[in-house]
Amino acid sequence: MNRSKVSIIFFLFLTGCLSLHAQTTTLQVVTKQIEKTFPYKKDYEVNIEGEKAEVVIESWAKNEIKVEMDLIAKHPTKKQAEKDLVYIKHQAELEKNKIYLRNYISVPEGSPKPESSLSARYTITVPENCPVYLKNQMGEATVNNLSNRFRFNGKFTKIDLFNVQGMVDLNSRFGDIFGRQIGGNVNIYSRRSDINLAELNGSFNIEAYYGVMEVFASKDITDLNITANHTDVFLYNANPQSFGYALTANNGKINLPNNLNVDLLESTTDQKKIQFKPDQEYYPNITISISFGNLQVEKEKKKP
Amino acid sequence: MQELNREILQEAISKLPKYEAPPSIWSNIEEALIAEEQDQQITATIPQLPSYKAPASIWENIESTLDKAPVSGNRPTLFIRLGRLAVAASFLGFAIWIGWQQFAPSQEDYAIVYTEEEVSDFNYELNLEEDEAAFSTMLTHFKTSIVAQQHEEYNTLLAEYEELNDAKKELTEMIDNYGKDPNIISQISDLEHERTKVIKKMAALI
Repeated sequence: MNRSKVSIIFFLFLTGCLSLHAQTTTLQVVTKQIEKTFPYKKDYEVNIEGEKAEVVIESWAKNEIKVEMDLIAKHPTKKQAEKDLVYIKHQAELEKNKIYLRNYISVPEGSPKPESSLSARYTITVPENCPVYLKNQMGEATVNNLSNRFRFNGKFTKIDLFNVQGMVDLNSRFGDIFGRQIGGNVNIYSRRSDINLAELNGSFNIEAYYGVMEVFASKDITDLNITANHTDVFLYNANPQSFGYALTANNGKINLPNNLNVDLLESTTDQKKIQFKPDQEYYPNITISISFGNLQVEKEKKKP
Repeated sequence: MQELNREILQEAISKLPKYEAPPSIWSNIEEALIAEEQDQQITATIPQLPSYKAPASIWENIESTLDKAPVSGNRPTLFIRLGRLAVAASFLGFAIWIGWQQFAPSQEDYAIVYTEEEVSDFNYELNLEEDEAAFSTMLTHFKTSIVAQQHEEYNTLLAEYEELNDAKKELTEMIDNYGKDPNIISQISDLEHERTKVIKKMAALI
C-alpha cells in the first residue's frame, strides 16, 4: 500500500469520526431526587398524577409505602437545566386516607418558558394489597404484583402490567396496554391504543376503538367480552374448542380455525353472527362484537 | 430647688401624648381599697375573740396517730398523687410518640444529582402549521358538502378529526411545557399520519 492510499484512508477515517461526533450532543442532566416513606394503613390508596412521567409501581412485604421521585431537566448547558428544574413542581402528601403524588410544570407569569427537556420518574413500592390509582399524560408505566385494586387513566402512555389481580380498571388513549398474569374483574376502555394480553384469569370486559388487540385466552378466564370498533382483534388460545363463542362482525370479517364447527346465525353483506357451544357442561364464554374491523380466532402455537 | 428651665419643661410636658386609663383600672382600684379596709377590720377584731385551750388528750391522740405506719387504703398524700400523675403523663407522652413514629410520614429528603447524557441530534423544526391551511380548507368543504352529509361516516369522520386535533393540541402544549422531546415529536408524527388518513377519507366523500 503506497503512502497516498494510507493518507486517503486516514483522511476518510478522520472525517468519518468527525461526522459521527457532529451527530450527537452532550446534555447536562440535573436530577432532583426525592424520597419519602409513608406508613400504610388498611384503607389507604396511592393516587398518582404524572405528567411526562415514567412510573414504576412494585410491591413488597413491608407495611410501608416508599416513594422515590426524580425530577429531571436536560439541556446542553448545566446552568439552563438547573434554572428550568425549578419549574417542575411536585406533591407527595398524605391527605385523609389518600397519598397524593403529583408532578406538574409551573412557570411564573412573565418568566420565559423552560428550554430544557423536562420529565419525571417515580418508583413507588407499596404493600401488594394497597389500592393504586395512576393517571399519567405522556410517558410509560410499569406495574408489578398488586392484588387488590388498580385503576389507570393514561394518555399517550404505554403501560406494562405483570401479575395484577383484583379490581382492575384501565382507561387508555393514544397509549398501549401490555399485560401478563392479569386477573380478577378486569375492565378496559381504550381509544387509539393497542392491547396485548396473556395468561389471564377471571372476568374481562374490553371496549376498544381504533387499535389492534391481541388476546391470549387461557382456560382460567370465566368471561371475555370484547366490543371493538375500527379495531382488529386476534384471539389466541391453546384449545379453541373449549370455549363458548358468540361472535358478531359488522362490516368486518371473522376468521375461525377449520375444526371449529360453528353455527352461522346470520350472514348478510354487512353483518355476520356466529355461535359455538362446546360439548361440556361448564365452559368460559367469549363474546365479541366488532365493527369496521376483523376478527381472527387462532389456536395458540407458541408462547407469546 | 429652683428650676431654671421651667417654661421649657412645661412646654415639653404639654407635648407629651395623653392616654386615658381603661375603665377596668378604676374597678380594680376600688376592689383593692375594699380589701384593704376589710383587712383592717379583721386585724382590729382578732384581739376581741375569746381564747380556748384544747384538752391534753387531743395532742396525745394526734401524736399516737403520727407514730403509726401508713395503712394501705388510706388516702394517698399529695406527693404520691403528684408522682402517680407524673408517671401517667410519661406513659401518655410515650404512647403519643410511638403513635407519631408509626403513622407520621418520613421527612422528605432530596438530593441534586448531576450527570451527562449523549443524545443523537434530531430535527427540532416541527413545521406543525405548514399543512394546517390545506387541512382547514378540506374540512370546510367536507362540512358543507351535501353529498358528504348523506354518508353514514360523515359524523364519525368529523368526530375522529376533532379527537385527533385535540390530541395534537395536547401534545403541542406538552412540548411548550416540557421541551422538545423526541418521543412527543414521534407521537405528533403518528397523529399527523392519522389526521392525513381522515382528511383523505373526507376528500373522497365530497
